[in-house]
Amino acid sequence: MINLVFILVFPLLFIGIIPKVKAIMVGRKGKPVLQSIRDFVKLLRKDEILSEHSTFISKIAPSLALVCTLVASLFVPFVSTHTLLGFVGDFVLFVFLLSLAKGVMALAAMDCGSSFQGMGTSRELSFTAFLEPAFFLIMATLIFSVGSGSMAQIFAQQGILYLNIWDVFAGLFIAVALFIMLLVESARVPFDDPATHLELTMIHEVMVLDFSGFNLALINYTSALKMFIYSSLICHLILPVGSSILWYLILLILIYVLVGMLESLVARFRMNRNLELVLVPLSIALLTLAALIAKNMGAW
Amino acid sequence: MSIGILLLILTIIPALWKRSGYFVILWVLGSAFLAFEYMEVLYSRSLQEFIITMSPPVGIVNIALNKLSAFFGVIFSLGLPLGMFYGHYYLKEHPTKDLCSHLFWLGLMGISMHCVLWIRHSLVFLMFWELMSLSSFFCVLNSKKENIQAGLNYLITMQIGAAFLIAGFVLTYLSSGTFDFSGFEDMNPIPMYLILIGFAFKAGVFPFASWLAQAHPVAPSHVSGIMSSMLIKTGFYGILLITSLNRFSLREIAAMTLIFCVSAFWAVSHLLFERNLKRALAFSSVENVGIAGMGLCAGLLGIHAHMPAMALLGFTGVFLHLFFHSIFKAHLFYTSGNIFLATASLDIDEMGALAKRMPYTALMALAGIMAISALPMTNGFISEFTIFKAVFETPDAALITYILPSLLILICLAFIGALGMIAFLRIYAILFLGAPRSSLSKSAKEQKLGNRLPVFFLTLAILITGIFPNIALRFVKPLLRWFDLDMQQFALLQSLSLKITYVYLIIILLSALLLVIRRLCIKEKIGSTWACAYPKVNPRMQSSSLTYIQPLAYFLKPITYKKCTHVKAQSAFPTNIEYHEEHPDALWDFIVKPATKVITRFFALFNRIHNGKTNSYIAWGLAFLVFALIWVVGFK
Repeated sequence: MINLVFILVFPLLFIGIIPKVKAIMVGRKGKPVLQSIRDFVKLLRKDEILSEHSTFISKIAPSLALVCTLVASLFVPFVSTHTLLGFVGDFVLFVFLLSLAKGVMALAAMDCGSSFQGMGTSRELSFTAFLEPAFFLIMATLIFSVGSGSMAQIFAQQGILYLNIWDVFAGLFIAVALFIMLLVESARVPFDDPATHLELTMIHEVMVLDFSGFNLALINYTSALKMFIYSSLICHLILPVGSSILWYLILLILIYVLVGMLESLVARFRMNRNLELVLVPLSIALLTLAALIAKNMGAW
Repeated sequence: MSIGILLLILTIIPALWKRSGYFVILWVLGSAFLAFEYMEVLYSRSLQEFIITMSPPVGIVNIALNKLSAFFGVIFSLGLPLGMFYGHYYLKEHPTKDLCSHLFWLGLMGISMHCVLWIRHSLVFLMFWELMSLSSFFCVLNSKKENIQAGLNYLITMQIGAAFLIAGFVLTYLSSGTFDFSGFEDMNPIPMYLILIGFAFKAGVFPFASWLAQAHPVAPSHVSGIMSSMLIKTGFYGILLITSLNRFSLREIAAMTLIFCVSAFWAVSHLLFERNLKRALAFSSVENVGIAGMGLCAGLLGIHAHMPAMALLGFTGVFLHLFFHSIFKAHLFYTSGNIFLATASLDIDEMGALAKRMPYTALMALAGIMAISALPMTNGFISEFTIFKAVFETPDAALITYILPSLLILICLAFIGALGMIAFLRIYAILFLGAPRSSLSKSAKEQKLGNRLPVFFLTLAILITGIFPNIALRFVKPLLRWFDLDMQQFALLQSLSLKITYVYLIIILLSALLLVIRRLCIKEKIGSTWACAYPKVNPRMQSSSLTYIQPLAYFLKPITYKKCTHVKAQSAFPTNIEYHEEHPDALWDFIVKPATKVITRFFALFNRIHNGKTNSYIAWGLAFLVFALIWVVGFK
């Protein structure tokens, strides 16, 4: 149950850390961490303007995407590793729920007949083609090393045993892969810049250009929640079994700080080279799995 | 059997009188009788069996059902009348020149599809198999001259497939001494490969699949719906029949895995670029057969590795996917038919904003598109979920020989699933959303109730089997028992699908709640689309079907095949700049066309003999007589 409170309150709070870190890095004071929650509440109360071309898709998509992501997050271990939902092989449902959320948003983006939004959609969807297999390979790697179970169990058990070099190796590599996935999925630098003002260079932001008010609030929350899911997965991957909640929270904040620092230190990639980096999680997962299999065969 | 088939044969009478209404009614009645019998065989131990004794070369013909053919029979007896029903209304809106012959061949196609399932004798089986190919050829042709190339290509491909089957059957007869299907048990490898290849032609597996993309776009929509959702399943039925009677070696399983993966990948790489709606659906049939094949390979691997859980999940995945595919593919083909009737075009780049003009169709098509891209809450997801679960059982196996093929299945399934989803989201977005891209879609109107009704039934089927997968699981359960699989895991799968149902119900409830809140609290205003303050937005500025996948196309460049013509800017003031891109079927260009060329050249060698001159024909006759004389009398 504590997870549910966590899911509902913290994503927006944590996403506020990133601009703060960015501001501090360039020597400014920055907006308060709570600003994102204030924006959310403000947007919730506003009316909406819909495009003249928009159909029923625009109306239902943000709600459906939010609910799908929310239900998907019920499979994910947060503070407590006892999740509300969970069964053996639930990660397949988890991945497909996230892709349903992405799918309806991709449709909603095409709904208003704008030239920008199609651009953003095509970019975002091209990432999906490589991220889904990457996630399945990561899960295969983890299952290979700890055995099958629900997603929460797998991630909780993987907690690195720092005595076994193979665990450290697999865990850290997969954490890197998941971190890149986090950057892509939550539309962060170097793939996408949420602070950009030029439509031509946007990816995620341009997809939601024509949304306003209530629906925009839902969309913002959804993307914050998605980032929260991935960062929580990374935390559980790196933390040893049985470490306290305090360490978990510290690590979680550290990940957000890292994302903020990355945004202030690294420039964006060229748009058409983005996919090459998106392939990295896929190859990391594949290599790790291959190494584990080879080890199991007795290669080392 | 007798009543059902008799009723179906009786449908020829209204067909000859061009009464398609009575034709459909008789089909529904006959199929109901047949469906009842199939269900009886599937769920009870009773066996329907007839034996006909014929003169020596044929011998005893065994006509019987087993659980496998009953499973396909249920699909056919539910799907065919629905297809005929749709066809009735489709032909009303889009009349054919010769209704009489079209109905005749349509009926014959359906009857032969049923008969193929009943016959257990290879010669008679071949007869009905050929009848099925022939009648479906005439259905595709639909008495239109412009269809003749695609239709002939289909017929010839089927004949080549049948040649493989004949060779396989004859070799089996030579070794086992019987034409009965019992002779297929533990076959020699070569006849088995020949028969599998023969069935693969029909099922639409990679090197033999180019006919689908040719035949489906030109056929009338109800025919392409029936063919794609049911006719090609007869090919898969044959493959499963051979699988049920033989044990495969690991090498064979690995080869099959590779073929199915390549097949699905080839299809999806064409699907991504396709502009013609029905061609895209045809490619997706190949993709889905590939996915079902991957499930089959996972099941076979499980049996081979003695992992009962993997075997069971794999086979469950195959049957579920075949069943579900026959639902959503028929759905999408009938939808494409309605769109064709409304706009008189199949080019998706001429559509757009159909959701405003055809709201019911758009809403129902959303379910179909979600099912075919395997998104949750529809049935397509359930079957892919089962196959994924089967693959994730492998890590228990210690042998790398088991892990490698299943890893291949995993990667391909995930990659193909994602690409398929992108392809169909693109099709839906460009068909139904945005601003109208041409005058065709501007003047589109919603179709009549009769055209929408079959699609509505199929939508219901998609949602019901998708949200309550236990219904579908109950349907495949007897079949899994028949395959001698360990049913221990099945209860687990059932409880899993119950949990999935709960998850879906939570999603539906929560999103309904959110939507109600939004409806109550929020006022909506209508404004123009944001175009960065540019005032003259026009529909041509929207994404077209090619720009939609441009980033992916850039990355998939090495493995895609395209032809483009590019007229570049010549001077400082260029007058003419052109760019034209085409994504033809690689198999067609690289295999079918050259092969046809070689064959034509070979037969051109005999042109000299057949030159039309009477005197030379007499000379050939004389030469033959001399030869025959020498043959008989001999030199002395």
